[in-house]
Amino acid sequence: MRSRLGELSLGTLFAATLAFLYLPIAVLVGLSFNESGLPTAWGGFSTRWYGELARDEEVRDAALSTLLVALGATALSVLLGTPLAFGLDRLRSRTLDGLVFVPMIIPDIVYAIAFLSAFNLVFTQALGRQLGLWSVVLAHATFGVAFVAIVVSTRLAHFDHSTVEASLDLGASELRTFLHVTLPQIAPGVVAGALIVFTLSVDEFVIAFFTAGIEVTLPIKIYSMVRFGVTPVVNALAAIVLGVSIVLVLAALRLRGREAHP
Amino acid sequence: MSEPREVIRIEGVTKRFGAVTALHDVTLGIREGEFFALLGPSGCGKTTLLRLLAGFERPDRGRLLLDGRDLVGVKPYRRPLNMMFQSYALFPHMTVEENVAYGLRMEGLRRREALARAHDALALVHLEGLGGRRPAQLSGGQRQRVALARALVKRPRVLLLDEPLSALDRQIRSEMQVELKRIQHTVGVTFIVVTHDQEEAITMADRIAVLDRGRIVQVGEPETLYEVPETLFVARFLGESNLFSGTLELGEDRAFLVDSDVRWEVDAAQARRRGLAPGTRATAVVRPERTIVAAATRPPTPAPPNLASGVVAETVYLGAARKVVVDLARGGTVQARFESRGDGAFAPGEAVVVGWEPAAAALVVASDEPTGE
Amino acid sequence: MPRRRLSGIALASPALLWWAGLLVLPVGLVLAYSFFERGVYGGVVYEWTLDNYRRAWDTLYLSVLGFSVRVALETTAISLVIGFPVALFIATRPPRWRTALLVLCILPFWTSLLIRTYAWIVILNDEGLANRALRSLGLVDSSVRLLYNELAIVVGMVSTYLPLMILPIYAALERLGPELGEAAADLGATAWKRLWTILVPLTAPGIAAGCIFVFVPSLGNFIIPDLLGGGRRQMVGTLVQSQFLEARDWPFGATLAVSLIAMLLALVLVQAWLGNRALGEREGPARAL
Repeated sequence: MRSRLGELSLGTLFAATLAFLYLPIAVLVGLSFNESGLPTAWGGFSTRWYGELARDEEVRDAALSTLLVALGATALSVLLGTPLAFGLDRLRSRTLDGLVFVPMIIPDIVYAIAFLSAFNLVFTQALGRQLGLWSVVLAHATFGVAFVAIVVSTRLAHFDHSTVEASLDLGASELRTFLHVTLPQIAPGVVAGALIVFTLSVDEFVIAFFTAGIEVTLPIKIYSMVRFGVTPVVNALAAIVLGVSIVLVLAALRLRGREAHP
Repeated sequence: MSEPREVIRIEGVTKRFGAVTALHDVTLGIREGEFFALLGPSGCGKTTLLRLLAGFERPDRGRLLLDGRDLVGVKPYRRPLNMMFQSYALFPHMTVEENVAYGLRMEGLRRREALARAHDALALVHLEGLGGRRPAQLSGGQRQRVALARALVKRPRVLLLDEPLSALDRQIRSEMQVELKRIQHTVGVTFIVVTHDQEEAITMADRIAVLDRGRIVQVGEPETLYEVPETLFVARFLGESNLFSGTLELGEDRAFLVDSDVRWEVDAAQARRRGLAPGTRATAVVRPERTIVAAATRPPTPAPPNLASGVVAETVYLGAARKVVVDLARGGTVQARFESRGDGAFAPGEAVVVGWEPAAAALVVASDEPTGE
Repeated sequence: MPRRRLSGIALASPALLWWAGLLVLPVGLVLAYSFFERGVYGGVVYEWTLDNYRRAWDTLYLSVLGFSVRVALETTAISLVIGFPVALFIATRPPRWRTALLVLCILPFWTSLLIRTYAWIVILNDEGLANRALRSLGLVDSSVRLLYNELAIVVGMVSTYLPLMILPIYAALERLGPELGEAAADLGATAWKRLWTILVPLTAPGIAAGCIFVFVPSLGNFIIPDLLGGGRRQMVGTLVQSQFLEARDWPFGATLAVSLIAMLLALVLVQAWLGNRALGEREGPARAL
């Protein structure tokens, strides 16, 4: 006999937890449509702040910068992380497999200052180059590589390697086998990894703040809006960024889920 | 009398993986159009031999000839051989017909023509109408047929099958044994099948090579292997057997295996053919269906030259046949099998005599096994 | 076999070289800086010293570390208390529901930490939702201070890292299969006993992994104490930042950073060493992705 009381209390706790997790998101989305723009009083539904957001050129520039950084970091992460996953699959070394997770342990603030120190020494002092969006790309890709490698690795672990031999046996060269058999089976993992890295890069603040120099990305813009005078526009901006993240992550999870639960 | 043409000639092939020798100086010829089985326990090297032929491994020594041409160094995709994988290795991201047409597309055939031939191949394996499905939507037996069609559609010189039936249920397996035989007849392609299942090999193959720890121990037709095994390993690997060992005493026209208290009479001509010298320890292998059992009160007439008394330990009803397990008075156990006809049912504990004719035994060099199984 | 190794190394090396230049080198540099003296106007004087590490033992900094550990421990404990039953709830649903419910729990984790932390400021400030709710319920007469204190930080941390607790515990529970069904069959009077004698021991590796996943990022987090602590309560992350940007003492900032990494690395290695690797490292983060 299943205890109904136990079931009920578990269910209640689950619902309360979801409410707790989604409360911040719900509050911001609700606020972004509040005519008064104040968290204290509901002034009626309005898209006024979205309108103001659209007219804000600084935000537009920051959004463009963020997009460029995220695209660059994603491309680099995929280009480096996918071969890494294939390499790890061949090397079968537990130590190396574990090493891929090391970038995730390092706190963002520590990596930010480490990157900054190294950058100062190598680029600024030796080469005379300044920080900019490209340095954010380098820093984000450093983490992105790990995420892509991990997602593609799990995909490879489920990959039936005998299909490669079957393809060779059926007359396809190594290259054609890779293009027609290996890649199509791994692609959802690569795309999922790319979506994750893109999302992380769009949302990432701490490292970008330290490595962007005088450039401003969206999270940096949001941070300064939050720290130095909140205008209701920030709520609209936050709601949009949250929405984009949720859509991208759902897409990534969908791609991954297909193989995780065959 | 000319031997049938050989498609494949394996000459002195040796393959090592690190310290393990998977194949040791293997020499073997496979004939045009035959259904050939490589039989042996797991780890005997049979799959390695298949993978060498497919081109996934390279021999350390020796040659692999296909129609007289050496295959060593030829890439897998340039060999006119196709393989059916144990796991089937179907491409999960393609439909059934795309799977089957894949090899043809790689040959440069147009999509339409490739699909048309794929449909023919699917018809051959009775999968018409399933071409649009994904492998994940098929049953195990259907997947196996797709794998077969995919390998056959390229009309290979030789089809290699790696444990083709091992992933199937018992019921479908025996159906597929017959089916594979039929398909091989229809297409006339040489089949080389790897299996660890002796019954499967006996049912399907024209000839069988038995492998043990990287060496070929005997090659022959199923009947020969079963009736005249040349080694104890072959005798025991193919079917059940009763073993009677002793030191060979070879006379003009009679021969005996002498153990402490008994003299088993064996076929002298066979002992000579086998090149067994007098004084060697040899074993007579007697199949259960060639072993005679009778109640001690009614011994068989005429009495076979080899008789031993014992007690029934167990009787097993097998449907068409009945099996009797007898504990011999001198030690050891013997199994006998005969058609069940209602009569001749023995009861456990019953005193019986067990006998066999010299002609019923196959002589092999002895191991140190005790008399009986 | 050697060919396989060779191609493996060739495939992995671009990424490994990338990490050598952009991860190992910078972190190594920070390690080196921690042994040098600071310049009068900031920067680094290349004079070998252990002073920075001696200084880190100052009670002032030890108290920051102590506070950080306390917050991380509180976060971990609360996440465990909430996360275990939540994972149990999901794992006892019909299979077709589980993935959706799990995704529902993970989704917020993948949205901007900065934005969600900002949302907590809106919720917890003196005129925020939380205070108004408390007042309208008659629990308090005037506004209570909910922001810029330990409570705010812990709330922010739990709401951020709770999914990392739920995932590995769920994975461990799911693996139990029918045993779970039996154990969860009766959640009544003997439920507690079953919980402690069956479920907790069986899912211990998952619980340990979850605790590590929550504790590690909590300890080094920067944004949450920065925004929700309002600069009033420092944690290691904010201290590192202020040493670099405000005090301009790079060697000492580096020392704090090195100490933090060393602690986190030691924790993760101990967990891996305890043999929970399969469940912890591989499946935890991998499943979250």
